[in-house]
Amino acid sequence: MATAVVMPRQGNTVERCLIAAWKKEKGDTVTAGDILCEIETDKAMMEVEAPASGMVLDLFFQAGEEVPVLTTIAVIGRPGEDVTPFRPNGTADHDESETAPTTSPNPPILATGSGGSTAPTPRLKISPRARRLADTAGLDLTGVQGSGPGGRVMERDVQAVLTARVIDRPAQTASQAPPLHPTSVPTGAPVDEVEIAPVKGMRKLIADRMLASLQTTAQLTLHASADARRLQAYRQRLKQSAAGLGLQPMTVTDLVLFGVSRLLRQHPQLNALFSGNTLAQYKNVHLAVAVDTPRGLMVPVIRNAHTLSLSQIAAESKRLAAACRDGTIAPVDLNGGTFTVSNLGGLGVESFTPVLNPPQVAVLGVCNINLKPVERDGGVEFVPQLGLSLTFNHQVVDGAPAARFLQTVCQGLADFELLLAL
Amino acid sequence: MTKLIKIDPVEARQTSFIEGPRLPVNAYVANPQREAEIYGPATLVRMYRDMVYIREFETALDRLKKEGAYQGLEYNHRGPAHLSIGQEASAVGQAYHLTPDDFIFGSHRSHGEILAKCFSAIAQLSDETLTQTMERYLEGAPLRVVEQFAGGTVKDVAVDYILYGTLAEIFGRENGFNKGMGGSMHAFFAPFGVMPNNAIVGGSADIAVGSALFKRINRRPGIVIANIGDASTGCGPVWEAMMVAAMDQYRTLWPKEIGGNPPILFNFVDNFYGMGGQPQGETMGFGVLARIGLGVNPEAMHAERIDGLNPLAVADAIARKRKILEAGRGPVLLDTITYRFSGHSPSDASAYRDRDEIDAWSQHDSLVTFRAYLEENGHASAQALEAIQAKAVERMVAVLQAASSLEISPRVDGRGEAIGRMMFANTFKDHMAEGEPVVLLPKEQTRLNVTFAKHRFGLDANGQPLPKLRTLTYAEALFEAMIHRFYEDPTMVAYGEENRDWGGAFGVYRGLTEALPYHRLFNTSISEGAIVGTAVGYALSGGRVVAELMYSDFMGRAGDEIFNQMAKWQAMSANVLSMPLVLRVSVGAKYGAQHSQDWTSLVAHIPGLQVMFPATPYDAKGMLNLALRGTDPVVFFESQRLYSEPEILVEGGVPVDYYEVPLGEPVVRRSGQDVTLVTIGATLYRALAAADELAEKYGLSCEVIDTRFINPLNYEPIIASVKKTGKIVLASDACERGSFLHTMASNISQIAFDDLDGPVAIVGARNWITPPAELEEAFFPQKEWIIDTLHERILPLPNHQVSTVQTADEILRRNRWGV
Repeated sequence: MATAVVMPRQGNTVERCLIAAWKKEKGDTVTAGDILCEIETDKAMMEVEAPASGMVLDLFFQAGEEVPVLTTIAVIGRPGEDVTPFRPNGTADHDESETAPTTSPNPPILATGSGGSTAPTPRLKISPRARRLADTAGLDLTGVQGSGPGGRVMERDVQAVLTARVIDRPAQTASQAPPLHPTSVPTGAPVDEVEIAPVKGMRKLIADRMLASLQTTAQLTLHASADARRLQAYRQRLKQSAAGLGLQPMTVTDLVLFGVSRLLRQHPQLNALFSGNTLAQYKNVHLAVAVDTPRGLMVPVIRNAHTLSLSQIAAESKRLAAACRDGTIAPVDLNGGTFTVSNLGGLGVESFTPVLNPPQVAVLGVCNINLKPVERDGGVEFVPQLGLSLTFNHQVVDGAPAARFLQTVCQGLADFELLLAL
Repeated sequence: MTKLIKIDPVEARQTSFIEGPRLPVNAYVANPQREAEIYGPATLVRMYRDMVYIREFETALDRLKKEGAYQGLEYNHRGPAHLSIGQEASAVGQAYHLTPDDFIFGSHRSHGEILAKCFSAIAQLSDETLTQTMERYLEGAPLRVVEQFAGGTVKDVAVDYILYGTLAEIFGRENGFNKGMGGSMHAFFAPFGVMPNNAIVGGSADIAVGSALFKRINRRPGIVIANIGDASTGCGPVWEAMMVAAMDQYRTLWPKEIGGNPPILFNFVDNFYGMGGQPQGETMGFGVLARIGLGVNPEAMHAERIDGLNPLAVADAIARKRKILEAGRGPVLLDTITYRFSGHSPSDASAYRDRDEIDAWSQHDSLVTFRAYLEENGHASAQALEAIQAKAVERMVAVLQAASSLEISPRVDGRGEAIGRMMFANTFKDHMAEGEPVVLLPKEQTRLNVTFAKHRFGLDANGQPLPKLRTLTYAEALFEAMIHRFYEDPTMVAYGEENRDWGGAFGVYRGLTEALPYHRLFNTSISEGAIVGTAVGYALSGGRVVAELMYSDFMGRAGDEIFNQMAKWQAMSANVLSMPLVLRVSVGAKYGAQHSQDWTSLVAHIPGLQVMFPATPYDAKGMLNLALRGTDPVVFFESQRLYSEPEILVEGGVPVDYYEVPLGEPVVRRSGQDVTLVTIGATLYRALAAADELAEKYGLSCEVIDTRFINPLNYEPIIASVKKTGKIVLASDACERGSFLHTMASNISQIAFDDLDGPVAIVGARNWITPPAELEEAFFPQKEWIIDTLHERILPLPNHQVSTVQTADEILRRNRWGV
């Protein structure tokens, strides 16, 4: 009996994965544990091992295709065995049996399938009208937040995605179909200046999530700055500290993460998740850190940051960022954040409006350090100031408590050593 | 309520006794010599022949049901067969004096009455008329079959024609007199005055009264007989029929030239049994059935018990009673005793009677006794009478061969739309008969003067309401439609409770009393069953009639008449009969649990009814105009919340001139893009209020559609709207469970599933009793219910605060509790 190779499930929210590259071809002989292919989710790169030894009888998808989790992607068995029963519906060879025990490739509907050992994923709730619109437009609805009762995706949700897509659509594509907003689309760009690439996988997820974030929450950003002199001095001291102490150099982000991990405990309304009906305030601080990677923005999570020392936070941050960049980050490290810190200061950004990562209700943007004039003893003194931009969801957090939190962070960072007592 | 009849307190309080006439019991005295003079030998022998044919016809069916064969011919008859073996004399004796102008309405056990009345007609009619009738009926189809096996004179062919048409009908064949749609219990042949037989016990009583009303009011010749069983005396509608038939007003208030009471004879075919129960001695208390007449009017309905085993006793009674009826002194009650030797039906084991009782009655079997009478008095020889019997068998064999053959006598194509096409005639007639309508005033001098002069639209140029008293109301719009048809159709009548003088409980008929004589507009006894039932009889006899039920809730009192009679007879007659009957039903409010229910959904469920519910004065007039020109039965709902309301939705208001609303077409009251709201009846205004609020608070543009019709109903405008909006809420004042809205929702979901952006949501009244007026807002759908339903089930509205619970969970909870 041949063995199915199934696209593994990656946590509860991943519904489809991209086959990045096949490491074996049809006809190759494999041993259980051999790497069959590399797959990429919105969050990480992973490898799929051969579940059994034998010959690769068939590969059902090509590299670059997105495949719903739990779908059979390949079959390993003895030469000559019939692979028809394993073939997922809708893949090549149309004369296959209808009794194929695989899941449909139509991802949002199917939760359970041939694997049988996993819990069902939540079914996508969507109105017939919205589904038809999405199908007509060739839109993947992964990650789209429904605005109907119980989170049902309605026509307006799909339209919102489409509208955004049209606005961003390159000229060539836009000219193929009448744009919804013709005036907003540049025309006449020569074909050879444009490189068309499908938006999928992680990029697709980021695209959908960012849009959904802005569409479904009431975001507001406050800007403030903190006296950075002691912060800078402290970093300097770390660099110069005795080798015996074993202290590593730390980034400004590390110091901000530490400060936030301590101060958030006094502002639980910002360390919270908002589901539309409930607001869950967390006692523990799970800090998400935005990481720039070649494939796009990733946000790994430092769990229980409030219990970690500054050194531990710095080490964890470093480990997670590295894992994100080389694609080895585990799905579990990408989930469960209660508050996000994002640093664009290293790129000279003076202030920005970080986008919320729902259901979180706040994100702190860290900007660069600039010299700013400060009045002192009747004269003006230029003091280095660290810019901080706090975006919060005004649906559940009012301006004053958000401002108080930001002020506290500024005060804490300005007198950094005091934070070590917390 | 007439001002013409004063109630004198002195007289009312005087001491006296009620006395009644003595009622004859079996008073007929046989006198062979006189009988020979009256009837002549040939007729007497023909009467015997008719009895023999009936006996053979019923015997054939009895054999087929019990043994699967008759005279070696096998046939499996799956339908019912309620036989009248033993009752032949009562049918034949009755038919003797009846002409084709006289109508009989019967019961489930009326095969014998059909044959007897038709045979009598054949004996009376000329060959030319007979041929013409058979050629025309169903375009000659049954005749074409009969010609293949029948021979002899035209009358011989006609006898075979009747036997064949009746048997083919019983077998459910397309050549049957009603294309097989009536079957054994409903067969009839109108051209010879044999009108619908009714499978509902006593069902013919009020229908026959309506038919007699038609004859009286339209001055048509003939009397009407309701042949109903002795056990039907326990049925309310039979009593209601007698009450309507006996009303004093025919003689006290109606124009003298109309001629008095309707010519109706209630003939109780008294075979002493229901199915097995015995009205005399067990299930009723009258002792002798004829006694009932004493309770109805001072003449005691001229009631008699007559000997139904002697055809000449019956014929004598009919001749005497006919005179009374023609003189307008009816109604008449006959208690015609007889005995059925066969069971109630083939499944009857006769557990309720002893063999010796049947044997004793066999000694009185009319076929034996009347045959002996003929022989004894020298009217026919034994051989001649034997030959009649032999001929009867011969003809039945020929008829059975033709009627049982599927090649010769096919059924209608049940897989196609043949039956569907019979449900409605879809014809329109300005008048059901020629002639000048009888009125009391020229049309120009009627209350139309007042209504035409009113504002025809309820809002001024600035959209402000005009004074209601000077603006045409919904009730007045209905009045204009009514009076229009009254002045067009001489057959049109209207009646119900408090219709005259009062003008109907809600004043719709205000102004008609002055314009119309009593016989065209009158009050009836409080007999909802008979109000509808007589209207059914009036309509199927060829007249246009508007019956009124004061409250929708009273439909319960007229359930059989609406559901089984009004709805069914067009199709059961294979469209031979039409039903130009409009039943006006008022939907109440503020009057609590038994006077404030919207029962539109009940009639929506019954095939065969057109159902209309106008929500504005424009539609009230245009739809009633439509209903009153049609020939199909219409239940016409009106809302008491709207009677005094002016037209505020249709630009230009209510036209003075005649117009009709197109049948079955919903109307878009307000165009919109985002959400579709569909209503039935007065709920329209709540939906419009909801649409206003949704626009104002949430920027939503609602399309509001008023269905106006429940059946027929063109869904296309609704589907077109759903394709546009994807979101639809349906609302009506009918209780939610079983509401017609659910039928609509199901249809919309199936037709437009891919266009839906959420489920089709329903807003109905609560599944409660209607509470007191002060609590009605908790019961009937309100604006807020519609908005909250949209919010909870289809389209969450930003920052909307619900004031009612309309979640899907609430649907579960309510159903779990049964409320």
